[in-house]
Amino acid sequence: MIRVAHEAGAGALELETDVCIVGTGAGGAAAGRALAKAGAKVLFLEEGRAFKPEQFVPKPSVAYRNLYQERNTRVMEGKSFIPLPGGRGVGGSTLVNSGICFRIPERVRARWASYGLDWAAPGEIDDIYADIEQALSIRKTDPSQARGNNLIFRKGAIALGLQGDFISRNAPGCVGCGICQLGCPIGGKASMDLTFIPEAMDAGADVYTGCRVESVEQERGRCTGVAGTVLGPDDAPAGRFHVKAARTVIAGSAVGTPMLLWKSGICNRSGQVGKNLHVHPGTGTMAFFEQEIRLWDGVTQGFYVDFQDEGIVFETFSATPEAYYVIARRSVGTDLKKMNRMASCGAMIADRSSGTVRPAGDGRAEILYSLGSEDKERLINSLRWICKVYAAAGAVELSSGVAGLPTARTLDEALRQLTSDVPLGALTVYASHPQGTCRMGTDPDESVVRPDGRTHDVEGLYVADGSLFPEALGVNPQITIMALATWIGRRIAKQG
Amino acid sequence: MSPNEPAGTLPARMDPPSAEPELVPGRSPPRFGRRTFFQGSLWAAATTASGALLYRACFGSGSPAPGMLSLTEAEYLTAASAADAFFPKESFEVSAAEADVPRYVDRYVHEMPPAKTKLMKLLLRSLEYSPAMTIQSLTRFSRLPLADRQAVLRAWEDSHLLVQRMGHRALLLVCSSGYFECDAVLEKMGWGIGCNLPPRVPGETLP
Repeated sequence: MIRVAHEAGAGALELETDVCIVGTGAGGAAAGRALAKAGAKVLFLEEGRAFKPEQFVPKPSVAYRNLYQERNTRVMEGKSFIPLPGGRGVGGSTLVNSGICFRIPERVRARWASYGLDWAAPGEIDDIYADIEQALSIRKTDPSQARGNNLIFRKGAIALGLQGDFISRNAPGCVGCGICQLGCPIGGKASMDLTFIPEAMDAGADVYTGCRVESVEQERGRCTGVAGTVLGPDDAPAGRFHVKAARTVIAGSAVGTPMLLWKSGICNRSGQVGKNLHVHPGTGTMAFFEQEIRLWDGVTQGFYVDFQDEGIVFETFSATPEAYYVIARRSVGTDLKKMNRMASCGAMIADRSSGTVRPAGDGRAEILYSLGSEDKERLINSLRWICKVYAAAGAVELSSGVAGLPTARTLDEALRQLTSDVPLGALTVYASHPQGTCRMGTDPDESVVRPDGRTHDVEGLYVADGSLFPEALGVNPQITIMALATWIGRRIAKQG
Repeated sequence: MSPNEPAGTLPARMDPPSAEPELVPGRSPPRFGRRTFFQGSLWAAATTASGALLYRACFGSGSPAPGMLSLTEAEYLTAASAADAFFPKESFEVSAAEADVPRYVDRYVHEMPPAKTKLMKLLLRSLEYSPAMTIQSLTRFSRLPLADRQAVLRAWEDSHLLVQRMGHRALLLVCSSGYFECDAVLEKMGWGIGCNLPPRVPGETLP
C-alpha cells in the first residue's frame, strides 16, 4: 500500500525489507514490479507525493508546482541555458510525458550489444518488451484522436514522401485532451502510478512517499540500505528515515541517481559518476495556416517522422499557449485568436555532445551541458525539414523561434533564415530524457555499473534507470528503461 | 650602487638581499604610521560598505509588500509594469492586471528554489534601473510611460548579450504563464485547454 512517510512515523522511521527501490518512475516501478512478482518483499521510496487523476487540473502552474522537479525551473547551464524538465511524484516522469513508446532502434541496439551489454542482444529483452507493451496497452494513435495538429503534419510528410507514422502510446483511455504534460486528468495514460506500481503492490510491495533519500549506507563494501529525510506536506523536513535492505536499487533518473552516489561518496572509483550526461536536445517550428488547426484539441504527440540513420526524430507536439506565445509573440502580435490557426512540430536528436551532473553548493544538482556545433547544425537542418513539411501542407507563415528573425512568409524565406550562421544562443532549444550519468559497461575504469545492473564498487547496490545508457538512445526512452529495469529486476530475483 | 658610479649603469654585482632587515641601533624599523593605518582602514570600510550595498541591491531580500508572498513593493511595481507592457489594456481584450499577472509572478517567484528566486529578483531590479542603458532615460522602468517600457523590453529582447535576452525570455515566460492561466483570456481567444473534463470537486484538486 501507499503510505505518506510523515504520517507513518513520528520523528524517526525505521523500516526493513528485502529490496529497497529508490524512485517510482519508469525504471524503479518496472524493477519493483519484476521483483515483487518474483516473490521479493519490495519497498519503494519516493520523494514526491502520490496523486489521483481527479486531483489534476489543466493549469500549468498547478502541474509545475506539484508534478515537476524544481517546479519545472531546472535548466542545463553552458554556452546557453537549456530547460530539462523532469517529473516528480509516484510515477516519476511517466506522470507528465506524452506516453510515447518506441523500442530501442536496431542500429543502437547492435552497437550497445557490441559494448558487452548483454541485455541489448536479441532474446529475453524482446519478450520483456512484448510483456510491457501488453501490460501498458500500447497501441498506435487512432487518427480520430490525432486531429488537426497531428494530421496537418502527416499531410505534409506524405506529400514529401517522408518515412512516418502515428505514434504508439501507452494511453488506452486517451480522449485527446492535449494536456499530457499537466498530468492526465482522466487517468487515460498508463503511467507507472496506475499500472506497474499497483501491480507491485498487489504482489505485496509497499510505497512510502515524501522520502528524500540522501545517503546509501554500506558496511565493508556491501550496501545495507539507505537513509534520508522525511518531508512534510510543504516539502519541509519533518523527520528522518532509515531503511535496512538486503539489496538496494537506485532509480532516481540520470540526474537523481548520480547525485545520490555523489552525496554518499560511493561508486566513483572510475570517476565516471555524473559524467557522460546525454540528452535529447529539441527544437521546433510553428506554422500558421489559413484554416483553424486547434492544436490543443487532440493527442499531444501523435505523429512522427523518423531519420534513424541520423539519430533524428520529428514529433508533433502541443503545449499550453504561453510556450508558443513566448516564441512566436512577434508573429502573433495582439491577435491571440491567430494561435488557433497554428500547428507545431518538434525535432529531437540523439546528441553527440555530453555534459555533467554534480552537486551544487545548495545541494541541488548542477547540470553542465553545452550543445556542440555539430548538434546545433543537426537541429537547424531539422528545422529546415520541418518548414518544408509544413510548406507542403499549405502553411502560410513559418516561425522557428530563432531570436531576431522575423516570421517567414514563404518556404524560401524560412530556408534562407535557417543557416549555419544562426548562433546557438539564438535558437530555442529544450532538452528531455537525461541519460548516461552512471553508464553500464564491462570496464570498471570506464563505467559505474556492471552489465547486469550491479554497481562495480558496492555489492548489493544496483542501478535501474536511464543513467545506465552508454549514449543517447535517440527515441523516447520510457519503455526501454522499463525493459532494462525489468531485466535487472529479474536478475536480482534469480540471485535470491 | 656607489655614488661614484656613473648614472645609468648597472652595478657589476648586487649583494643578495638579506633575509632580515638590518636593524640600526637606536632607530625603529620602517612601519605603517597612524595616518597610513587610518587611511587604509577608511578605504577598507568604504570598500566593504559599497560591496555590501551592491550585494544588497542585487541580492538583498526586503520584506514582501503587503499581500505579497515574496516581492517587495519595488519589485512588485517592476513586475506589474513589465506585465502591463507585455499585455497592455490598449491592445488586448484582457489586460495583464485584469488577468492578475503581477500576483502570479509574486507566487511564482516565491515558489522557485531559493537560488532562482534571488536571480529572478535580480532580474527585476536590473530591469528597473536599465532604462539608462537601453533608452538613455534616467527614469526608472516602472515610472516610464507604456511606449518607453515596451522600448526597454525590446532592447532586452534584441540585446547582443545572451544573459539579457535570457532575462527577457524568462520574464516574458513567467508573465505569459500567468496571463494564459486566466480563464477569461483563454475564453476570448477560443483556446480550449482540457477538453470536456469531468467536473472537479472543490478542495480535492491540487493547489
